[in-house]
Amino acid sequence: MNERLLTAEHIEKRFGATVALQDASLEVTSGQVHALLGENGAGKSTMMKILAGYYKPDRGMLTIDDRHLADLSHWSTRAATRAGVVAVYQELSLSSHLTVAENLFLGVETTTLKLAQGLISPRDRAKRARELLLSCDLSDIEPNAIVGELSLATQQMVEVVKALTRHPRVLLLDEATSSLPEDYVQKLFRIVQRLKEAGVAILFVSHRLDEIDHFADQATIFRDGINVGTMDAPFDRQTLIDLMAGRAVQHRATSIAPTVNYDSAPLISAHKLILKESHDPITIDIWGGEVVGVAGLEGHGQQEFLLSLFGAYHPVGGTIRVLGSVVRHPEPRRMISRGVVLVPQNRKTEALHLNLSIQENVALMGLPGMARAGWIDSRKEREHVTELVDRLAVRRTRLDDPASSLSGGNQQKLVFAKVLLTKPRVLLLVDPMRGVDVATKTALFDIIRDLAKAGTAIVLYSSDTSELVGVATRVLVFYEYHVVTTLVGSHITNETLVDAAFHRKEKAIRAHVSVAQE
Amino acid sequence: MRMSPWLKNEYLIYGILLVLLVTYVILNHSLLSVFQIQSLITSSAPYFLVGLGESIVIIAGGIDLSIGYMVSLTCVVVATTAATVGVPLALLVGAAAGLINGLLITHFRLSALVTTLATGSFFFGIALHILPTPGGSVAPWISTIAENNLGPIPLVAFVLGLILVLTWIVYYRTPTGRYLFAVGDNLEGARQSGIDEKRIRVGSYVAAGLLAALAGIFLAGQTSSGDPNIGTPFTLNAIVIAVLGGTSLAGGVGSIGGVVAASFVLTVISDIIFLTNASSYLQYIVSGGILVLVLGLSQGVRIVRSISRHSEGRQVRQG
Repeated sequence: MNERLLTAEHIEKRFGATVALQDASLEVTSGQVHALLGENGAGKSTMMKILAGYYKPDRGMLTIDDRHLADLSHWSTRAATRAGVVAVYQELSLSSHLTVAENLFLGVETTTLKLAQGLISPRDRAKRARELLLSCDLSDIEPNAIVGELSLATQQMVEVVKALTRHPRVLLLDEATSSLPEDYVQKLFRIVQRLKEAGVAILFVSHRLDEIDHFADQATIFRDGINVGTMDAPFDRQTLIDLMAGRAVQHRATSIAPTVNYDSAPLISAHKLILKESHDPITIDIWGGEVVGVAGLEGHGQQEFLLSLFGAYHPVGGTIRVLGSVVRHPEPRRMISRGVVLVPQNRKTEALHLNLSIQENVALMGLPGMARAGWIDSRKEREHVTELVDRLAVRRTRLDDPASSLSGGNQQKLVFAKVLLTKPRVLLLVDPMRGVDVATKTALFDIIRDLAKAGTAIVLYSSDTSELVGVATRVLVFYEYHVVTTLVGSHITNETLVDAAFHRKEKAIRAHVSVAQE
Repeated sequence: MRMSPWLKNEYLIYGILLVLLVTYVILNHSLLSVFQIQSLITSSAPYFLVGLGESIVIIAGGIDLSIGYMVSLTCVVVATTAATVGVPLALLVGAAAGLINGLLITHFRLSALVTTLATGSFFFGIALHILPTPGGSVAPWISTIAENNLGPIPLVAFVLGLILVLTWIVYYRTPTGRYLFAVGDNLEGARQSGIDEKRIRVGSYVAAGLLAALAGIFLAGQTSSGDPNIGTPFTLNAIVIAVLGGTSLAGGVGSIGGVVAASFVLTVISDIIFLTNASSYLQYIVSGGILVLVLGLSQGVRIVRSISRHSEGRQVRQG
């Protein structure tokens, strides 16, 4: 029977002057998938981290199996794990220099592995890891591979499997799907399904409403640190969105009519670009006003393609042209000075300076344009920054606060503000909606459309292909480091995108099979 | 997640300075005289120069363990060359030494720690080769600036003031200064923002070399001679001053005021050691001790904060 496993009541958590949670409550039941929803900064991640023992709440009570924990001063990740509460974080917690097998059993070697005279047998560990991965339909992950060399998506899956070695009774998934391509999402939800049948309670945070429709039995919505509603499936999407935003938001997926002038010179072109040794070259022209989507299964060269256009990845061969003239030795600095900017995949390590203020972050790329005779024009800087921060509706207190004081979604808006300050000709976006809430997503898509309308060329890679539908005027589908299909206009649908990404793969497998038979 | 202001290293250092000054006055049995203030400024000058240089390098995400030997080398250069070329040559040598450090670290991607340890030994060797024992002579005008006053104000204070203003302008009013902090805070982010990070990092080592040269020139002027061993204790002291002044060893954080206060603190401590007739070797123990203490303190602040937040939470529940 389904029983209450974990209850959190009247939880309060502050970070300095910021109230992350106030009087938030939540209840999870065994054998149920419970979705935790809310905009960025609503307190979802904080709640997850409190349940996992990563943060201690300032106030409140946790009940685990009818055991009341009013004094949470000793609440820690160890205590949580002992109680069966295990978390999979959106920021990876793996040791990147260790192997997959070593990571999977890290910290639980003595309780889960067979030890010989108290020593670990690497062979047994690898064997156990292989079995475990196989049971999760992840046999393509090699137990002896170094984690740091795997793709972000694969690492995220290893993180999920790692949680399983801790024998969870309550599994917390904090945006575990945000970096996953569709096939991995399916595998993850098969694992979730299995756990659910075994009576595990699953609490997950996701911004993809489709996933919630498909997999959640219950949903709790947070807004500004309090829960504003809990409901059972099936969910009414509009109600969910309204509760999250606290107001009626139109869910828009209107397509933009491309107003591209193909007679003019293309803004950016790639000529015979070879992303990886012995792979087919890519040649493409991109015009102002276009939104070029980039799709495909994770790790087939999409990111390398965008990074090549930005000069941050050095392809094996080929040339990049901006406005018809070749860029020699492309480098971010050279590309930026030609009006080509990029929103990188990982905002914390590649885009933001967390110790610097909001203003300093936004102004960073635009300083040459705001300096006179080597001096920064402070008034001009403040005006520019304020205008952009307001246009993007970054929720902030003061411009002088450090960037680290903002929540994830607002940090992402900051990255957008930063690149937009340079008034780019070409905007390259690497999975920009990752871990961003619905309202922010809508706002950012509006900005992308406006920019395209104003003549900017946009190249958008998304790991969530459905995001490309209704935005992209053209979609390049990647397979093995080159473009296999280009979809245009009304041919861009969820189905055609998924087909195009997989079709070629099936053919490749068939080709292998026939070679083997010969 | 910001610290309450009074717990920040930068403010802490002003408190420490105040406490030390009071201690100094008590031990001295009288208030600070004009002469004492003058001598405080004069003695803290070389500390300030190397501390600022080290702080700039650390803000940019590096470290310079050769700074003391650059002081020695430039001090020796001033004392052994003709009066007319001594100062420009010493500055050139300092800048070149910094350039070598910077190029090795950024363009050849060597570890800053090991590289500057090695080049430091190299600079020390050259200094000893030029002048194995203290000696040489220094142009009188250098000694005048190092020791004399204009009215009640030491001449060197004007030089230091000029450097302070210049540094402040670069830090807070130029793109270069902004990039310095950005590079130290997040190198990859800076690169992807189109910042020429190599130029900034090389520049930070050159700035350290120039400031070390100024310290070397000043020390030569003060003693009217060159001494190849004079810079040796300055490497550790430079790091102590930078860290005590609130510069984060992780890069991206630092201030000028902190460095000024920290150099006074170090000077007052050595004066107190002198006043109490304690062994002058105590200075070394104190310098090393302070560094560990400050590093431990910034760690401790975090612990104290989490404990206080906790007991606060408990009280509310009981109430």
